Amino acid sequence: MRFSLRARVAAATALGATLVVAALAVVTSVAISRNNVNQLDERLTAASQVLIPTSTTLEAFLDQLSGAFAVTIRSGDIVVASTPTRLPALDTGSQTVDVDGQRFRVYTAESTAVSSISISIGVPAIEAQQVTDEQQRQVILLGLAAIAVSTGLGWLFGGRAVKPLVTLTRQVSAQPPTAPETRTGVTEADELAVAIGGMLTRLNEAQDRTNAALDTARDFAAVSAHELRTPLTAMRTDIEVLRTLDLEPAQQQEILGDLERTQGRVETTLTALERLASGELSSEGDRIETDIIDICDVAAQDAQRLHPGLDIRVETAPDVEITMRALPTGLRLAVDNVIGNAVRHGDATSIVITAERTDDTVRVLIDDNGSGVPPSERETVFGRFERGTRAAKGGSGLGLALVAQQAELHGGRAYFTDSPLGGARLVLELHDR
Amino acid sequence: MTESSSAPATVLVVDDDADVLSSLQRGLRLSGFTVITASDGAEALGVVSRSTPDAIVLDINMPVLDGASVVTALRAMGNDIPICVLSARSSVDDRIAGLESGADDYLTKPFVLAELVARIRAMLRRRGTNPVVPVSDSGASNSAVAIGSLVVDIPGYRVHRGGLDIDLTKREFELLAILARNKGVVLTRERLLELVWGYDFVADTNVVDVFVGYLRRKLESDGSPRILHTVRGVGFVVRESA
Repeated sequence: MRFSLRARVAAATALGATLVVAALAVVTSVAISRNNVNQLDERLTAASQVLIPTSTTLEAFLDQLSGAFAVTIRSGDIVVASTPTRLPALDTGSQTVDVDGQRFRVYTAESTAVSSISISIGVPAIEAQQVTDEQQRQVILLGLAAIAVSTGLGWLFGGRAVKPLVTLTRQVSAQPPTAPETRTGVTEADELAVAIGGMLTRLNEAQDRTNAALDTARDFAAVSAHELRTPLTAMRTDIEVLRTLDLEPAQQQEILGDLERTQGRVETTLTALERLASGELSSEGDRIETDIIDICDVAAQDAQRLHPGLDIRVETAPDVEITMRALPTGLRLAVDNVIGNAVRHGDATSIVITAERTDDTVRVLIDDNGSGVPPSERETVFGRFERGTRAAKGGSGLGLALVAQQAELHGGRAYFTDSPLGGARLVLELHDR
Repeated sequence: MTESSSAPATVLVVDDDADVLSSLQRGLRLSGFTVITASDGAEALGVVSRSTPDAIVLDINMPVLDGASVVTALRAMGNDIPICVLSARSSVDDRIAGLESGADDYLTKPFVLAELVARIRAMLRRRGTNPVVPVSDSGASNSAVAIGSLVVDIPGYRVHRGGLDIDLTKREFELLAILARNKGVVLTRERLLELVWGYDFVADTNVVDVFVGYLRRKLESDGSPRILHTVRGVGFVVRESA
């Protein structure tokens, strides 16, 4: 069952009023009943005092009297005189007795002045009862009226009392919801307003974060699409030229070479995108105790095979060992990318890798003798799809973004400085947690 | 593969991507054009002023000066060289940068080379001719057309409403003028492509819809009722709103 708050306030008022009125009615009814009996008793007492002195006179015609009352005069156990309705022998005082199926209220008095007689005067109790009933009915009617009135007032004032809540509801259900005011003067409403305001703020913040993440993802998707469409445009054009035009074998070879290169570019971009995504998805469970120098060493050896003309060395003291909890594949990827960049974009012929540890911070320095990175571009080249102005054509623009991502995943950062070798020094700063 | 007996038309291809630039240069050259290239917007503007090409194929996303800025700059200088912009966006968004600034056509990357060649040829054919002054027409309806409060002054090459000129690009004006001259007559997209863009081939393009969108935005920006209506499944018509 659903009721409005206002109806609940009215019902609560009605319930309260009913309890109070019922208690009052019971007390009043008892009082009324007792009061009526007392009044009757007083009348009977008064009557007996009138009757006792004239009892002898009374005796003569008492049996002829009939009516709604009964009088019996006794001397000892003998009935001296009685109305047709004879009252039983009773002790002095007020009592209620049943005579011939009728209930009487009786007052019995003893007189020792004239002779030892007792006189009982009774009236049917029903009369007093009727008065009591009538008065009690009035009490009940008044009580019901009081309940009705208080329920109505409860409804009326309840409306005013719940008004802050109604206002609150309207503010919160507005589109967009407005933070409710907190000066209604009603403690509960103000507390609720504060709570709702806090909740709205949190919801808005969460929504802003989600929107920002979505915007980033949307931007990234758009840029990725652009980065893939560009080489595909070149490929499509080349394929069409090959298909529709009659070309010399030399021209055909040239176009096929271009096609192969562009296809490689698409592949590189896709691989880099894949790695960026998997970097974003790496979890704490992927971190293992990793020998940093070992990673640099293996990377250097592979680079040497790939670029036979390159002079690449890892220079650390032989007894130094640097290990930390890390993502080994990610770090290897980062070192590979830095080496690849130095060779491809910086035309480096010599690369020196060193690693050092200060407290919790591990730094991998990769120096080259290439063309370096202009100071104005040292920040931006780490952005996704950002290419340096000195970069060779055809890069994915994601290589250094991957390096930056790995540095971040390891609680650190990647940045460029000048190298003592004359080219660029990339510092891969990692934090061992 | 030559255009005609006359010297081949010169096309300027502008793209910052070396691969795209070289493949387009080769493709267009082998399709019979003389191709010159530029790798960014600033360079493109320099080439246009030096070697006056006949048409431009222009990438939108470029460093230094992007495609839309190049179009804006050229049109501001009063240069009405045909421009086809290349967009890398695949979204259905009809706001194609460059087209709003006054480019004539657009293609989405990657595109079919034959399509680009056909568009360039159509643009070159159109160049110098005024499509809104038809040869076949006797010139009877070749004057100002009023549609409601809007006046399309075809000979005067201007559109105004209540004394205020509405600024339209060349293609926007031509599209509106053709529709206004045929007021009340529904024209199909194909017919409009033929009349306004000079396409005598089936082109897979929504360029008409894009320009209709631009026109509506400009004509209705002051809250005026719609006069350029879409007839679903058929085409477009200009008529006073009921």
